Amino acid sequence: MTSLVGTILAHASTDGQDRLTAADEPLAGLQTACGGELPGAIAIPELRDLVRAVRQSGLALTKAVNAQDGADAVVAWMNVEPGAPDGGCTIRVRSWQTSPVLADDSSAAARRRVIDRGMAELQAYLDGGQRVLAAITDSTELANLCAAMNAGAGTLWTDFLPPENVHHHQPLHWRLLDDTRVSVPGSARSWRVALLPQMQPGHDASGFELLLLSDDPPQLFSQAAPPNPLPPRANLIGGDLAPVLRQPIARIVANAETIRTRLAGPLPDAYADYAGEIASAGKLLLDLLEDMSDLEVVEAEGFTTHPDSIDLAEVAQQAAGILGVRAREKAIAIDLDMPEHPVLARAEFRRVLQILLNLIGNAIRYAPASSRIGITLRSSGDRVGVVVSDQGPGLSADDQHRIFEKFERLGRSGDGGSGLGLYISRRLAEAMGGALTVESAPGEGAAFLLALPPDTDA
Amino acid sequence: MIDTASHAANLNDAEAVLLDALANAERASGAARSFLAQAARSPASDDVSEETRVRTYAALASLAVAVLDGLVGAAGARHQPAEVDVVIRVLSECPALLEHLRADVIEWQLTQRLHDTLALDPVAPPLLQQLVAQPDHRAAATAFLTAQMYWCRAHARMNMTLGNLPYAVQNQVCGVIQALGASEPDLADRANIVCADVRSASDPAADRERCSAKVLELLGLDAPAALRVQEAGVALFLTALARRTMQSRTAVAGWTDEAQAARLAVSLRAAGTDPGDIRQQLLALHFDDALAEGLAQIAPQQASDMLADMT
Repeated sequence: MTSLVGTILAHASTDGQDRLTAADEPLAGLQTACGGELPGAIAIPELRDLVRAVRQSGLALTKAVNAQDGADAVVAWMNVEPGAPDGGCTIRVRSWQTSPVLADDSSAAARRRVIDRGMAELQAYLDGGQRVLAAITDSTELANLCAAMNAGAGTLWTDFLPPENVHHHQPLHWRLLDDTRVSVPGSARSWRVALLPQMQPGHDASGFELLLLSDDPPQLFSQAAPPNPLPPRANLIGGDLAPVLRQPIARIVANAETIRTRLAGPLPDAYADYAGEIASAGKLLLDLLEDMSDLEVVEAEGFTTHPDSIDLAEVAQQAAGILGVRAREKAIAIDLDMPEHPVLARAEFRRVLQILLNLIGNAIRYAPASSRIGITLRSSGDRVGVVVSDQGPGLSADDQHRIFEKFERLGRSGDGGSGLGLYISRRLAEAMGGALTVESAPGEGAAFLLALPPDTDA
Repeated sequence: MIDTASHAANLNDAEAVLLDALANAERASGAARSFLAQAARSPASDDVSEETRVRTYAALASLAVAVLDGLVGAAGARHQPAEVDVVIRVLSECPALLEHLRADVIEWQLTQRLHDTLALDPVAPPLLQQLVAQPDHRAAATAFLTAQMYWCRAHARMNMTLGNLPYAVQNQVCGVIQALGASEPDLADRANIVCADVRSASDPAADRERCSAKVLELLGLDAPAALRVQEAGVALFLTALARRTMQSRTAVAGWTDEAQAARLAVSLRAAGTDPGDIRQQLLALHFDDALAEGLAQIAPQQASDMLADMT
């Protein structure tokens, strides 16, 4: 959130019919984003009410005006004074704060994005029109692709990474291309692209970060051995339905946001609210889809991870750093007790990161404000581990057993959780030869222990 | 009629307030150096913010592993924790490296914060996007953008390599590696090879700080937009301020810490920034803008003199 109290960020004026006759940015942009015109009737509902009250009362007023601009919530302090020459008012914008609507780093989609950033094998930067500006990679497999993208700067990224099963004229709206399967010339691996937009309040995306990811580990494809036969799948969500469902749901969310922000034209407030609810529900559905995909992966017969020698302290540092901002928003301190030496485990880095993000994210979500979350590393012979402890409400003995069950919410609702996070985390821990347990008592917080096999070769 | 006596008194008051603030900032800066040196050696220290401590230690640990990779084994080899610890301790005694890492961490934290609060693009802020669109500036702007992508990736993953260090700091670290290897003849040869490899693999033209300086030279060193962080982005803003005030970029990055607001304000004034614009910058960086009040009475040259007196 940015606060510019004490300055006048923008001036504006209205006439006797409460029409906005002139406005500086960012107010002018918000008026347009809310479906209005300049000059034209005030399209920002709370500002319209404020101006009308000032004009009718003849008294100056200063108050916060709330509005929504695309995916951002705007809170602006506006000083409105009567007595403008044509019977209208003068407006001074004193501060302008923006924050993402439905911001929740713990959501499955946000968690996946953090992991994607860490695992991307190629990163590119795109302009607002999805044209390549530059690309970087450390992968020898992708070196030629990276060189081609840099040589062809100014070209649509889809020319280098053709989306699979998408034959529409490019570029599609970025929401529809996010998480799309793509072909990488000369590579037999399965690839997908994540698009992360850079957005200024009141504007379209000014650029994008493109992440190229593969679920197949690189080393498997450097060996001459034929690929293992695919294990039979337990169900269809992740493999077949998720890619098919993700695109139409993303389209529903994109269209609902267009309606909600009145980009398609003026709309009564009630209908804009309905559209907002549709967008929120769609986003929750996308999160649930991500969890269901993970669920299918961990429940598949023959599911394996790709263990490597990893330093648990390093993973814990990353997880604490990633969620640090969100913890600070609740004035929660993450107390990471770093060991003097690396704590080496035999496990898959991204799976351990996924588990720790889930544990720390849950702690932030359910612990009281201004409390502490402790992260400590343990090493005891045949096991190494990480303990995430919080000062939340704690769990009864019965709840400690139930909390790892599928879809178990312990009576909670409305917080965007699916009840799958801990179930998936425990399955991942077990797949790596470890375990995920909890120790707790009502009123005394909870301590989750992720135990893993040590790396005895180190 | 101008009351010259009153004006002089006000000027002295304003200067005294700023000098006092600068002295406080200097004390804080010295303390920061010492606690970071300690924090790097003792990860359990509570004297620094959690994020600064973790990121500084993680960067040192990454570099230590990279050094050991070169000295005793191929990349990816596992090293004894005690060996890693020894190299971390040795590296933490290199002032230039520690100063650089501290500044880097502060710059990254500011970059992230302004991304969250102002939606300021960490890689391609508005000024850079304008330059990329201009054929005459595209090559230099794209080179900086690429360097900035590598920098952001290293910090997002908390994984620093020797190649991430500026050219000058790399040289200092090479000196440390050679000193470390001097204990054994076999290691000495190996240390020389490692340093030669690092130097030959380094491309000064791809150095982020040099790339940012090149962009600013093309833009014109006195371009006002370069000193507006909302337009230039954190990286170009810091380089521009350092160049215009003849300070090191590492030092200027430290001035963005809230405790150093006085130095930042005086540096901006020394760079010729209008007091109104200074107020905007202080507010954008989430500081109290009270310091801007006295700056209207301080001429840019006077501000430069104040900075020089503090060094």
